[in-house]
Amino acid sequence: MNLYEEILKNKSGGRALFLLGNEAVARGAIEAGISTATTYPGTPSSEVGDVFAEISEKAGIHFEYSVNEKVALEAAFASSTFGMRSLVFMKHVGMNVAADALMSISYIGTKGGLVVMTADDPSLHSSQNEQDNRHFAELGHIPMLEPSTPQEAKDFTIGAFEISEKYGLPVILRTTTMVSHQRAIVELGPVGEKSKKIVFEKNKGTYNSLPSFAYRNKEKLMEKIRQIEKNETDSFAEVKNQNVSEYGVIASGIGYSYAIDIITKYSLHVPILKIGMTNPMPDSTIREFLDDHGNIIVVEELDPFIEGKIREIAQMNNIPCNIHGKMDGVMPDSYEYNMDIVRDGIFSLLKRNDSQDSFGNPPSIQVLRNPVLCAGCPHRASFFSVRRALRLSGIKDVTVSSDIGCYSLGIYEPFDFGDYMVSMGSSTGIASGLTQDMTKKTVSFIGDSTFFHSGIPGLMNAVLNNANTTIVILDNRTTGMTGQQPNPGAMADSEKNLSIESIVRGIGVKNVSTVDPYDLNATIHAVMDSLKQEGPSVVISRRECAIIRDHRLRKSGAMPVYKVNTDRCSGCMKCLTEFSCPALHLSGKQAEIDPEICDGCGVCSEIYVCPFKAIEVA
Amino acid sequence: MEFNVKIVGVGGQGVITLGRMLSEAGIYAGHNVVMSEIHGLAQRGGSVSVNVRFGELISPIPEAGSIDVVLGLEPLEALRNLGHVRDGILYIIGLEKMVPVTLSVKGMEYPDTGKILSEISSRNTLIPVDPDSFITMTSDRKMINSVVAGVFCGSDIFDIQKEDFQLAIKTMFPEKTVARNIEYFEKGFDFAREYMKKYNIVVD
Repeated sequence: MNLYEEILKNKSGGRALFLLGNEAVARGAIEAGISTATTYPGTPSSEVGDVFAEISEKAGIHFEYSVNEKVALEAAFASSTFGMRSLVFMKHVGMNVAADALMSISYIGTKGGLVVMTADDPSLHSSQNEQDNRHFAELGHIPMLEPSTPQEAKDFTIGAFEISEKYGLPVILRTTTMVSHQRAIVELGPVGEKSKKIVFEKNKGTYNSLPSFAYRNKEKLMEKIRQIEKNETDSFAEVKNQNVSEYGVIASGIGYSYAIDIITKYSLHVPILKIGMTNPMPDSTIREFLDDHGNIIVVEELDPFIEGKIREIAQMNNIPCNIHGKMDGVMPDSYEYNMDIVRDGIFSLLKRNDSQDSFGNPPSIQVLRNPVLCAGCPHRASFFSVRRALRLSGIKDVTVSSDIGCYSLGIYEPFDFGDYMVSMGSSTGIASGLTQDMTKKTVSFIGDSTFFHSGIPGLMNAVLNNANTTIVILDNRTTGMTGQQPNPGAMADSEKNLSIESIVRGIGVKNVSTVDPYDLNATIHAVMDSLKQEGPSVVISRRECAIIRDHRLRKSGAMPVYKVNTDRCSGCMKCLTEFSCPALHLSGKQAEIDPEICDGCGVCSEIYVCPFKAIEVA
Repeated sequence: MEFNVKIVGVGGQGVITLGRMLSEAGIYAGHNVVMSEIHGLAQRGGSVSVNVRFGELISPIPEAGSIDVVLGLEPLEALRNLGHVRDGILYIIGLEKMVPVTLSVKGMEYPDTGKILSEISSRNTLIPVDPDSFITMTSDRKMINSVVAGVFCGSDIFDIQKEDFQLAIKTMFPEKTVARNIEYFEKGFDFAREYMKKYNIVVD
């Protein structure tokens, strides 16, 4: 049976499943009896949504891929004000978008439990920064739980709902990539009853953030967080490997997992204080631990968030102790931790100088393998056409602002598109600012989902500034990079689809064309026309994501595959050096197509890619 | 006691599927299992690696010096591990070559596979798995990960039985591909036994 259906089933609990951290969060929310789940997809949080997308209807949960994270939070908050438990989840940078609402929602408070899950991405596996979102909890005076394992991801989700409801505050559930994307055995609990939908009780003094109302709410908020510190933090704190020792480890999240495994593996007699609620922190428990162990190392990824708090507690209580961590340079303050880093940290505390393993020479052959656009990806065809159109228009040097999505891979050879790539929707905003030299044309790339998310205000600004830019909207009918989620222009129910053309025209862009990127000739000419225009113009390059297309065609069994006709191939290598599909590679002196990778899009057989007409249906 | 498997390959090759096969089989064999996965941008045809860990532990990534086996679905990706994990371990490598676009775009060919394998085997025990000798149908090529799982099981390097893998395959795959995946698994299993006997390979 499908794993997601298993997550929904087993209403009385008792079974164990092998779950991803994110899948465990979804199960936790189901056990907590949620009525509403909202999100904007983003790695490493996306699989929470994958679960709900499949089972929400059966579970009677309202689930939506909202337009962006701020809207997702606002929708979940509204649901909470009706007394319904609501989960909103996003990647770490999504919190920046949602933060405007979140910072007020903490003042206002909640009714039905409201849990805001943020999945942080240390080491930037799929992100533009590795910001530490624990600061949002402190910034907004919002309680925060940090699970270390998939089991805790489930259990803490339930705990977060309980605390949220008890104190009328949103609760942040903070994971990191290695918690969200690890799979482990999770014991299921019983599925709780959903809260009954109640009528919204008007209360202007609470729900309206007019300064005079918010002024009063601030004091209430501070009182709530003080109460939580007093009553709740200890139940998420635990001392493991209790020993009489001058040494001690304080850890949270995935840092705890590495630390406890090192302590166990090397039979170290070092106690470890695990902190599960990291805002507010268990003040008295930390105090006691510092009293008992004078030499402390703090193990946490990213910023010295806990470490700073511990130093504060030691200072305020005049506890003489040595605290090691990031602030004194013992532990690294960038990137993910791992077993080796944590072992070295703990060993240095214990003044153990065990010789570390060295692993011999690196391999003599080293070839980089960057992620690439899939075979058949419409973005590759669009990039090829824009490159060609620029060349045919005599534009040698063009500034390109790109955006967040699979097409950010356009930065690599051979396309080299992406002089800027900053944040969701920034391509249009940056294009609107590139107006100093109006004689120079700029090009922007933005995907459909990103356009809806936050590209529209930038486009308005581009129109208002008459920015001299060609904006190519790469409409692949999905949110591709995060796993093919729908977006406002490509809903499961296509009747709901919003029209990008109408929006763009409504904003006031005069030159708007729509092309099929697989038709290179039409696309090249549309881009050339656009490049001739003064001011902003838009080319919508529309063709469904190759992954969706492959899935559909494979099902119907009608997927052609292309091959190189070796009699015709001149070995010019244009297909390799200018189009660079992963299905194409060099074999001897000619190009060759790997039939397993080829997805039959046929774009490489067009004369612009292969002037010798050497690529044909196999 | 811990036992750590690192699985490497190219995004889209089924690295996660192979990891889950090992994990589920390990659970059937009574082990505690923790696995790290990789999702998102890196999956798009880039280098990917996952870890499968057996034992009473909770962290998803082992110490680099504690990796016991590397399962590679692609030669260049297997080679990448030299210097990052300890030498003297077992490598089981599927020989499906995936040409990195970084080479093609410069008009360069894939490096000599024999050279790659000899560099790995000069420092480790190697069982090469040539997909051509197991799989003839193009549409089944991705099932090489079931062959590799079979080789892993047949090598006897870790305590997971054939039956555990068969159960895992039954749980994980759609009904219509279960029989074929088990068939490829068995082929891999038998091959490992023969290969190790022929070359007098002993793992402990």
